Amino acid sequence: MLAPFCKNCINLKLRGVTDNTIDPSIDRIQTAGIPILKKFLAGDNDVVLTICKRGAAPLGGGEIHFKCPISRNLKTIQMQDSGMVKRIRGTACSIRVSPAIANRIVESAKSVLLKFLPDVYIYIDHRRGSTSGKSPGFGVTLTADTTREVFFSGQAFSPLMTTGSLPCIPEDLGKEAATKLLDEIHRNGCIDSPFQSMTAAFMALGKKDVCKITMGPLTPVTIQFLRDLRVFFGIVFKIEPIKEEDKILPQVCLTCLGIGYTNISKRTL
Amino acid sequence: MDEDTVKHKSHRDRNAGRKAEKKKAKKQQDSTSGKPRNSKAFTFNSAIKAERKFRRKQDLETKKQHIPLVDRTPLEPPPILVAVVGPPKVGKSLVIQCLIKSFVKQPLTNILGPVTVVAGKKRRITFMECNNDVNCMIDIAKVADLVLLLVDASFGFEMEIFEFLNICQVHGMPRIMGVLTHLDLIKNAKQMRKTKKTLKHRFWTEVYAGAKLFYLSGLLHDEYLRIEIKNLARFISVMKFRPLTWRTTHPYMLADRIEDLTPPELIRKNQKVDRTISLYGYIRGIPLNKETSIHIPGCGDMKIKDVNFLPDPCPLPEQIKKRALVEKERLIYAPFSGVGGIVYDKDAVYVELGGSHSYKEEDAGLAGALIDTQETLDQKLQHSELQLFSDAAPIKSEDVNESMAPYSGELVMDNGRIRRKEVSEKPYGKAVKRKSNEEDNVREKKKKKSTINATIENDNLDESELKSDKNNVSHKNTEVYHSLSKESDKLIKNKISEALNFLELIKEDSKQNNDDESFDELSDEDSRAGLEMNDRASDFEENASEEDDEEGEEKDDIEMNENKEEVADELKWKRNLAEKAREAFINRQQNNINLMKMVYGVFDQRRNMTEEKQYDGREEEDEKPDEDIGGIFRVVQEQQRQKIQERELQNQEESVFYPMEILRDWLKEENKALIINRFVTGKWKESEDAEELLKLDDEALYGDFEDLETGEKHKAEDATPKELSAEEAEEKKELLEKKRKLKEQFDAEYDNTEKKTYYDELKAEVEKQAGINKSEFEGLDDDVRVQLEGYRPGMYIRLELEAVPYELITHLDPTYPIIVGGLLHGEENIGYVQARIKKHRWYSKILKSRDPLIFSLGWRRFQSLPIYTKLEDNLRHRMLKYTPEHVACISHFWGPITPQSTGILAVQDVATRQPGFRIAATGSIVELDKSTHVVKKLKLTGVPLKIYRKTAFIKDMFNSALEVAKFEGARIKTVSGIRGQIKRAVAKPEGCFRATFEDKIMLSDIVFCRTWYKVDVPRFYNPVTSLLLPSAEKNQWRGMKTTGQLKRERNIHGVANTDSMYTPIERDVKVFKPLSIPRKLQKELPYRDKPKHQSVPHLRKPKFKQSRVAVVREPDEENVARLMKMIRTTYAKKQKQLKDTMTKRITAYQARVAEEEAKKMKKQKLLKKEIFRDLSKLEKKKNR
Repeated sequence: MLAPFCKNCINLKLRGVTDNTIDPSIDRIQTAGIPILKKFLAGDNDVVLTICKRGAAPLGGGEIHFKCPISRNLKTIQMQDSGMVKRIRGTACSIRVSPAIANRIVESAKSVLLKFLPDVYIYIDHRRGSTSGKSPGFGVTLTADTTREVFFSGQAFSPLMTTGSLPCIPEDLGKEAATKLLDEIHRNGCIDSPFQSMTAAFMALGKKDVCKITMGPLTPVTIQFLRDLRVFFGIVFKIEPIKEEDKILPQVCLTCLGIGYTNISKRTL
Repeated sequence: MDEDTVKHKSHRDRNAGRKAEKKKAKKQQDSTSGKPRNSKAFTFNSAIKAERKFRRKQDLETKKQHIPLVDRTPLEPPPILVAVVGPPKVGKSLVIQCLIKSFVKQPLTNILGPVTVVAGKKRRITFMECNNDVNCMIDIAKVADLVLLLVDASFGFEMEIFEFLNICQVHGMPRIMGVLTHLDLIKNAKQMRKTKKTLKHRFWTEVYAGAKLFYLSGLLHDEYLRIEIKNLARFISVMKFRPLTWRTTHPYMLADRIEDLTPPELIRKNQKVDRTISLYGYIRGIPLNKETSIHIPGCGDMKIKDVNFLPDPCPLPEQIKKRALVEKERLIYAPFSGVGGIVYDKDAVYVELGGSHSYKEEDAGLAGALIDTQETLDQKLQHSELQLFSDAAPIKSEDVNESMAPYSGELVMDNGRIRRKEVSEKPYGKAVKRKSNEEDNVREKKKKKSTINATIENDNLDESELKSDKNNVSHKNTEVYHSLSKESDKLIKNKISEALNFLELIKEDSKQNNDDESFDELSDEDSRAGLEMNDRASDFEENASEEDDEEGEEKDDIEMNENKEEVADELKWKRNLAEKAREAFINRQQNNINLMKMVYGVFDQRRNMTEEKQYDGREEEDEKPDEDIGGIFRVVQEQQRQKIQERELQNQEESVFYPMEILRDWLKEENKALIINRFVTGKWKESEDAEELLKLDDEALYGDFEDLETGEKHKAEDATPKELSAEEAEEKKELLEKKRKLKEQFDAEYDNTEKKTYYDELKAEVEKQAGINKSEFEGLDDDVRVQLEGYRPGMYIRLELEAVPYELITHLDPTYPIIVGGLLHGEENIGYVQARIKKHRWYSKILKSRDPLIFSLGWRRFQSLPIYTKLEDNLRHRMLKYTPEHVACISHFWGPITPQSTGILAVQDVATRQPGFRIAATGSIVELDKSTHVVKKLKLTGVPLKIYRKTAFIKDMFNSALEVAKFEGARIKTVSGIRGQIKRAVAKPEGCFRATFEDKIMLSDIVFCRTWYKVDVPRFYNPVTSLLLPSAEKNQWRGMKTTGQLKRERNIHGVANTDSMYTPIERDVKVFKPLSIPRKLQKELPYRDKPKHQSVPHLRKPKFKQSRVAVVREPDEENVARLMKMIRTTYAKKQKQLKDTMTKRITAYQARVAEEEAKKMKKQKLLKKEIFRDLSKLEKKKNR
């Protein structure tokens, strides 16, 4: 979130857990989060996030490379229409487990999604050896791409195996991810829900122009985040539900006047 | 001559024949077709030339383009600020006076500070005179939209003009108009023309070619000619402006009024106590946020204590149907000059009538409004509507009286699911008990109410708090009051006192409160607050009797019900927590009417308590069930709040996703239907659906047509049912309309493809953004708007500041502009600033590193100690002692953080009025940092101790082996240019080291090592506080002096380094021994190299005689020579004789003298002999 405001371009090598059940997975960040960041950055920016190693929940051991340019100030954008979902892509990863598991996940996820859209393709990312981190796990992240360059995402990952817990069935995971994706699509908005707060931050840090973005129903995090933004920057968002012919849709429209933040640490030559 | 006059037959065109026909055909063709005759002449002759032509065209085109900037001026812009600048005695004040007179039709003789007038239907103008102080010029240049540069034509341009232009260039060029005055002093018409022309051209080179220059030709009745002034006014009022970067990123305000709010008692006690002041003015630039810190140039940084907007004292005319302004609408506002109708303050309104009719209307308007509200207050309250929920029907005060019971039902309904459920489960028994309890106290409560009325009236604080307060009062339990948390206690006290003050202005207040209500409406929590309002309203009604009491009871009843509801709620809450949360979420998803409220609570910082918090709070209370139930609504205590916050943080971490609900089974048909249209395979919107569009096209294509072959008339299928209903027809029309629009759009896009450049796109984007900026918050109420976007430009606001130095008030001089400049986030900090700076060409001296310099940067003016550096190719900042003459250099100083590429300006001194150009340097900010890396060159020297072939031991460069260790591997060099490297330290002489060189060095060589030494930038930042000085010394601000100045003042001379002094060089002439070759060697030498004793004839040195030339004289020359010789000989002879005689004479004389001397001596000797004998005799006698 802070990467665009550094003094120099960020080129990070991060190690740790890449996939777990409670946080957005790295794939989700890559496919749904990075495009949002790119939208706010002006010019030809090369925000790169590459997954070198994957690491599942308890021990991690994953490694990603993140590269982000710096910018003087963020673009002010307006996003009202989320468009229609035109394709669904995804990554099913199996870390230190049998490669067949990924196939099973894909199978089940596709069984759900193909009922809605024929253009579904789920990549299989089987990791073993040095690129697979320290603990086993498997999961899937699905991303729906719309005609307006909006990305929705749904994910599922195998929970931690403790003694006595029920085994996790890959088919269920696939189905769960697909359902979550459909949920996300149903919620609509132009921003994938885990990245709402990030988007809000970028909106607030923008130029002194009106920024307007339609989002799905706000997550609790976002709500808290908006409050924090008010405390910190004194910025208040105009939040109004979308209305469509006397019907109130669950989507909300966040509007704000940026605080006009500029990256004062950047050097102008 | 015949040949000259010969006449030829004139040519006759052919009238017939082939040629004639050809010609005729050609002529015909030319006249009919517009094509050029010679088509070859207009094709490309040369590809290179064509390319050049094209390139030139493109160059010219691109030159015209500017980077499109987003226009952030609101619909009703602030008055444009016209600054009148010029050297003293050019007639600045008179120009302002005349302009004001032409705008307002009424003279204003004594002008102090800014004057705002309404100039047109859509334009207001603030005039400000700039006096001749550099500080003032800098400040004015930062805020002025338009500058009138006054020039004394009889004198020409003065330095002030150029200085001001330079300041403008640095801080963002405003529009500039030149005005030539004193033209009547030039009597000669030709001279005048000449002057005008030269001045114009000089002005153009300085501003831009074609800049407007006005001529004010002379005075008539102590005023400029009316026509000329009118022209000038017209130009001013149609002037357009380009947004300037600094001003479109920072809010600012030119204060046109200042009030001291410090209690007089404090001032009496201590004259120099820090003051609380309020400043008034129009916001300009961009919206001002309440949280931003501000800077007042000439005073310092401050935090805003309070802001509020006031009704415009100089509003634009309401309806703009008429062509010109009516006299009444030509308003003028200049509080410093003592004009301006009404003066508003927080607790008073001063109406200054001033004996003019022009603002009578306005003050009548306000007074009238006041009277109006007073008269109709009761009715108004009766009619006042209270909308609890945005979609609920508004409730009137009568409704409250009449329909209390149904209202409770309504409330329940609107509250959504949770409430509904709770209503069904509501344990009513407790409420009844409570009710009876209340009933006992009703009478007392009524009594109390009248006293506490004021408090309730102005309650901007927690309604819940007040409620508890009220309850407590009804119980006559004053101790409970103390038990309230400290903070709220204070708040309430404040509020009460404030409320008392406000009692005079109840009417206005009630209005405000209404506004408050509109906020409160948003919340379900505040439905109670709303009720309270109504309660109050009913209190105002004098016929509050039994019925009223009943009403009160009822209300209490409702409140209690709610309390119960919530109690029940909490009890239940614990049980099915997850379910509840999910429900809440669903609820939120479905019903986000009060979204703003949900996120931010009520629009009040103090009431930031959110629903969730209250939830938790209630739970907490619930744990101590026997506590006063009224306390449920109390603010959560400190610790509790902390706990809640912690928990919330936890929650936050956990719930990046939505709270887990039971996932819908999307495969079910009914669920599937919900989202199937969200996919491209689903149904598209009508405007986007390809099929629909195709259909439309089809309709157009295959509408009615006649088959010509068969003569059959086809009609479109739609048309077959002839009795088209009106609706259908309408529909069709709509469709056609839509189609037309689409086609237009398509055409526009398709046809203009080659014209759409990147620039056009950018421009369009910016325009769109500007449109959105203008329209987004259009319809909202001002109070809400202020929350959302801040105090937007054009608003007249009152700014309250605390802890202002007392000098600002005591030494107030309205002719000096008081500017309030808003600072963005981070700009209130101070750090190391790098700026690219160039010494001004016209400044006579160069600048020295570490000499104090006064900078103007952003809003600020400050003194700092810059260090100049040169940015070398490897990005090293090498320190320079002085600024280079004509090259930019980087200057590092300790100063305020300001965004990059902001203009910066430096002056050496603001106090003295030197004859020369005062602006020392200009430039722009490059980088801001927390540290600096300025280095200067340091040469370490050493001498060789011992030299082996290419290795040498060097001493005297370092003091210890540790130092050497640090420099191992460093490159070293001798004076003669032999390069080498430091290898290792040597133990014995401390600091000595071994080094290797590329060649053998000499013992006399000096070895040096080039290193870089870090230079610290002095952390000195001294804001120029020129506004705080007494009026007489306002332009006499003195900061730190330069070393040079100090030395000059105290007559200190630097001691010159004797080593650096030039002394005559004395060199001994080297005498070499003659070369002697040993005999033996000589023998062995070849003949060529043998020393030759006999000189060879041709190498022989020419003798003296040989070079002589025989001189043969002429006879008379001979004679002359002979004569001369003779004379010379006789003269010599004579001289010799004379000398001989003289020596003879002298010897004789000397002999004589010696003889006499000898005689004398002899005599003396005898005498002495006698004397000594006598003396010795006497001695002997004595001894005896």
